[in-house]
Amino acid sequence: MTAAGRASSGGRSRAGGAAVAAGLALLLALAALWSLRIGATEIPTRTLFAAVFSPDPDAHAHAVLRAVRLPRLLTGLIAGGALAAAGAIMQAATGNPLASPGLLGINAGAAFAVVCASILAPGAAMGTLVGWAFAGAAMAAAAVYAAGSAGRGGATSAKLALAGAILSAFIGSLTAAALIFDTGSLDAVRAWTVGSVEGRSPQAVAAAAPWAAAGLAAALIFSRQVTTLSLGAEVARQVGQNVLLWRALCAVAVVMLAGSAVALAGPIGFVGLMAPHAARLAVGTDFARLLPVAALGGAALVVGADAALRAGLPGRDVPVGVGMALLGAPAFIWFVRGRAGRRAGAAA
Amino acid sequence: MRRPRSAAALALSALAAAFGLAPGLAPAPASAADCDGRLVEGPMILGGPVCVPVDPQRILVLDPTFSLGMGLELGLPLVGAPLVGMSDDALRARAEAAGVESIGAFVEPSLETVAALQPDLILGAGMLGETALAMASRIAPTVLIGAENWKDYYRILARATGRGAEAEAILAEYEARAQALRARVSRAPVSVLRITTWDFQVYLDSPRAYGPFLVLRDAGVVRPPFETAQGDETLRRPDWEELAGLSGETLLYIVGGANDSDTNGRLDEVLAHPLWRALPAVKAGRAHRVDAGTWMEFSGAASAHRVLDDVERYLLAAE
Repeated sequence: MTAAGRASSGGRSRAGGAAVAAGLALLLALAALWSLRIGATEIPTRTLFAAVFSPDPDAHAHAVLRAVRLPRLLTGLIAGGALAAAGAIMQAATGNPLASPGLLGINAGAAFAVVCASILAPGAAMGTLVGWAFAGAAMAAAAVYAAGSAGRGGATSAKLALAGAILSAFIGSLTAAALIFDTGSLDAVRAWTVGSVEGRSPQAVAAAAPWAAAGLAAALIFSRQVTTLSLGAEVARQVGQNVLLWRALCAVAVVMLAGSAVALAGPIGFVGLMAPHAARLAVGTDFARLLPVAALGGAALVVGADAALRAGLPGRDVPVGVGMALLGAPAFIWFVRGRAGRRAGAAA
Repeated sequence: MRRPRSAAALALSALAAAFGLAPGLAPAPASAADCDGRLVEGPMILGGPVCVPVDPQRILVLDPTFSLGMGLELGLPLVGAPLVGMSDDALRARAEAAGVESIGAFVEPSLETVAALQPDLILGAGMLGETALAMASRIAPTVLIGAENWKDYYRILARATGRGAEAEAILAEYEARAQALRARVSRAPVSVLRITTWDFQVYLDSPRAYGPFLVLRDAGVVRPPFETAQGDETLRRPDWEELAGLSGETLLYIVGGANDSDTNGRLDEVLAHPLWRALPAVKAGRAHRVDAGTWMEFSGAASAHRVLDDVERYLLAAE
């Protein structure tokens, strides 16, 4: 697609974007409510509010909500929203529609850090592993970015993709080597290879949430610059943007968003690639509209998919990372085909 | 006309066959007519009747639980067992003291070591399957026992090695102790939970239950409805919410063993969880950690007595 084509598809009305965002917010609220209702204990909606606003420590339903279902919902919200937002930034900043947070080596770095932690400091609880995973994700991203921006022209899309692929493979084999010598950490790292929102502690959620929120806020504040960047390096330079600086800032925001999401829930696939795609098809490329829609859509996707998996397969905890692509891929294909069909109809 | 084969090729194929490298079928079942030793037969013998020596001198076992523990209790001349990776340290120490060589890990035994130990009889659990039977049978007569119930397994193993009377004496002693405890055990329901690194497991009360849980039945220990089998299931994996089903007045929990749940932080997380603290037994201070080796690597009468020790320690009625 040319820059001009993108600009025209981005020329949708502000009201249209707001309507999409409001619809997604409603969808997310319904998915959240559904997610809180599903489980072995029957909990009426009335009790949900009581458990949040006037908790009774002796009520089993309240304990279930506060210790199990709310952390699970919040994990899904943070992971889905942050991964989708990170994917949106990656796709805009690199001009690569196939970019996803994993491209910066974030997943590989987090998994490696968790394995290192369980070897160096055995007995670390899940809550402290979040910190390790975040540090690993940040370091891997920094290494990928440094390798990808070496030489003339700085961090171009192709060089970043190449550096990310190479370093991910390198770190991945370090992880595999470490696992061969210490089979005990295999269990610990399993959570960081499939992506799951199950069993996260409120402390882990509280540790990850500020990073995700800060990353999202930064991306919203800089949305005008990201939009410019998404028009391509040539156009951005012509309008006077410091492309190198803004690409680096985008990378920092991606690390904060995807790093916190991966540290908390593991590399949940699909959402970081597909949610921003769907958002762009719905509201165009203006990043100020694209980002909230992608984040809301990503959060609704993860929370909804997790709830659907629990409702459909009670008693079997299928990690949302496994189930979501199964549910999401057909829905996404249907969505894209529908848009393409309408666009073809409009052109004819 | 037979194809001529060189001596080297013959030796190679014999070697490959001995190490189970060539795909082979299970040996043809033996019959009483052409067995000059003892014929081991019965519905629980995998692959049909096996002809074994009357007085085996070098017995090798393929599992480090039932076969190893019962073999040692019966005083069998054991030469090898998979001692790597077993979590019942006491049993491993007994095996090593008895001169049993390790053949590697249970899931990955070294066939080379098995062959080098030159066993004249191989014993193992039926779950090892036809492939293991075919491989092991090329080295020595192999009896794989398919019984789930530990007492059935004991009797079959003892009969196959000519130790039937010894086994009956050991089992009778156990039954007497279990019966005596029955009168003293509390009638209040008891919950038993295994905490692994990745989930919770409840071994259900059922006639098909795993060894330690059959011992609880023998001793008259009552389990709550959630922990009682409704159909064929023997294991339930509750999530945090379903944990409330563990309504016993006393709770025995198993950590560690084949996984690191005792050292990797999982146990601390569970013990600090509000839903764990809400369990009636935990609230009442009646949650007790029990040994993973005893409860998860059950291996015969000694294990059964250790389970009864736990019953005596934690589950007797107040007098």
